Amino acid sequence: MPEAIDALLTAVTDLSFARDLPSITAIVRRAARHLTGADGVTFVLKDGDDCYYADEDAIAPLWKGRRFPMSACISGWVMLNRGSVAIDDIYQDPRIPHDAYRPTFVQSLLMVPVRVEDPIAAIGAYWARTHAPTDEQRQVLETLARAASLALTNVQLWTDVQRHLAGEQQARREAEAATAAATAANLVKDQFLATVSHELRTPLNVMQGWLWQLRQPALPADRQRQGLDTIERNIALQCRLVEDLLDASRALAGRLTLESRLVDVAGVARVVVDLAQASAVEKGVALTFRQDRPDPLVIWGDGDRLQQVVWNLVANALKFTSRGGDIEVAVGRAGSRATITVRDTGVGIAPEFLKHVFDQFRQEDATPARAYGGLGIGLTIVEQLVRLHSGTVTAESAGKDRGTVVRVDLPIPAILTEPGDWLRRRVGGQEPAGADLTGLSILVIDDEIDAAIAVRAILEQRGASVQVAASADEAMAMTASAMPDLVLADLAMPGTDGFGFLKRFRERHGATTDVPVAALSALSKTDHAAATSEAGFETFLQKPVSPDELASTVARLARRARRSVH
Amino acid sequence: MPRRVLVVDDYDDARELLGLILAHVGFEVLLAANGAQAVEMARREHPDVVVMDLFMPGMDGIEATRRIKADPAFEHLPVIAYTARTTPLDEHEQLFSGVCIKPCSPDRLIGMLNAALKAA
Repeated sequence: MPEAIDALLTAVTDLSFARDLPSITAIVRRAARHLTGADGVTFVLKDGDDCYYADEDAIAPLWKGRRFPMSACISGWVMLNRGSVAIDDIYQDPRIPHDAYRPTFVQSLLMVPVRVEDPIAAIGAYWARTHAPTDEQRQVLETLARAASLALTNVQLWTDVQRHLAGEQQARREAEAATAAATAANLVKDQFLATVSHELRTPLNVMQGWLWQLRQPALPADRQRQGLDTIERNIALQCRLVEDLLDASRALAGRLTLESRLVDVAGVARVVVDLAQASAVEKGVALTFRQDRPDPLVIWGDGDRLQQVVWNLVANALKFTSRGGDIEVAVGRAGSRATITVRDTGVGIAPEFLKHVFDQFRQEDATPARAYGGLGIGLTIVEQLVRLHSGTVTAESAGKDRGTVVRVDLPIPAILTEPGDWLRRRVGGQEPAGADLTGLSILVIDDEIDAAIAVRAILEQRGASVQVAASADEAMAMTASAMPDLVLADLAMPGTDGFGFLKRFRERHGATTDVPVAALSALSKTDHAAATSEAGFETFLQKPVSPDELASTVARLARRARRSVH
Repeated sequence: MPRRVLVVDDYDDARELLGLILAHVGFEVLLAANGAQAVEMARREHPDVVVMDLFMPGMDGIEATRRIKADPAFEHLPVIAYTARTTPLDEHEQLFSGVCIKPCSPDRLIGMLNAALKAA
């Protein structure tokens, strides 16, 4: 039958060009019906454990769009059994779910799996009369199934290739973007090195010139003094540049460190304003300090580094504000954060540069005609230091010549924010009540900084000198160099816990010292008192502990220890 | 008759010092603190030679030199670039009779000034 072969060849050829699923199903259903002369055909896709009736072409509706479990339909059966099936009378066959067929015209059928070795679909042909499908019909349908199988594999490969190509293109675009970014970063770096070189050479040149001048015979005394003063000033300038460079390099390497303790941010800011006042007066700029509430604004941080932060901000403001302008340094509190705001009426920042102000080495104007010197690293250092304090820094400007506002937010530890607490009284200078711990040195081990601060403050307030270790390891290192009079150890800590610390401490120092070690823990006292006592802790202090109880316990233990030594 | 030198530098310490040194070795010294002042002063005072800083706010040294030399009367006025900048001047180099990189010994600068004056 040349006509049928021709139709089959056409279908197979069409399938070999199909690039998506809808084209395949369309070709298959049309060809299957035409070639078998059936009253209806379906194209069924395996979808997990279901058979999905994806498409059909029939004299009346069959099951298009419906799903059946593989085990409960004939298409599932041919896929599971990897072979075709022909059924003369479906109502005589137990594999057929009769309920699903009753609403349809179907009396007999032929079903073939697609990709016999690992079926992914099935093609069904249906007749409205009982009849035995011929071998020829079965062969045609199986041929069509093989072609469909290849076409489906092609679609899969095609999709993979497309995805792969898209991925490669994406990767290429990303690589190009990365190269461009690296080139831009190198440019910024080159510019920075040129700026550094320029800024370092300028004072050096003045010094060299004055040395030449000072060597001339018969230089008047006032000229000599002028020369020495100028040299001194330029040495200071260069030293500051070198310091800034070192800080920037530490900041970039992540090697800036803090020596944190309780520090009054308001006091720090006020000191900077006092220090910078002379420069402001000389420049004709009004520099003022404002604090909304007169109380100290205490945080946990490094006073010297915070001073550096405020100093850099004020120095920047001075640099970019011309005669007649104003600079205000304001400190305040916003919720649980201390804020330092430096506001100036200077040249402002162009909107497009605003996002780069904290970038290393960046200067808005790095051309030879730039009006302002400097290295372009001050704000980078500020940002790093603020980040080390777990704070944030933001810059705002309404635009060119509209001034700049830089705001630093620093977290206040929770322990310091409770209203009316004793710490504020302490900072306010009032005398504590209770035991006097003057002269005692105490080591506090606690991985929670808030807790450590609180204990430290209570003890320092009563005259003790306190060291804080955040871990057992740190505590071991500290006691190796200097032995305290008493150790207060938290029990639950990551790594080596309080018990582990005590064991190591006694192993190392047991022969030479019997410094008392007390447990200070939020663990339940009733559950853990026995274990701590057995482990060798002098006593168990339950957190939260009242300042008076803590102080009197410490005093008692330390007194006893001293008595036993003397 | 003493030669007149115009010293241009925005850094007070540097400008003042160079003025003293050049006066010390016998120049008559004129001082300008920025590019615009330099152009104005050159036109008015007709110096014999100029020592020009390059990095300056507003009009930089290259632009100031270009403006001075745009006037045919100053086409051959020797200008020494005096700068802490170490990057090449490229096409701008021909504007200058010499380039003196800071830090620069006064003797070397004086030598360059004298050579430039002799050539002019």
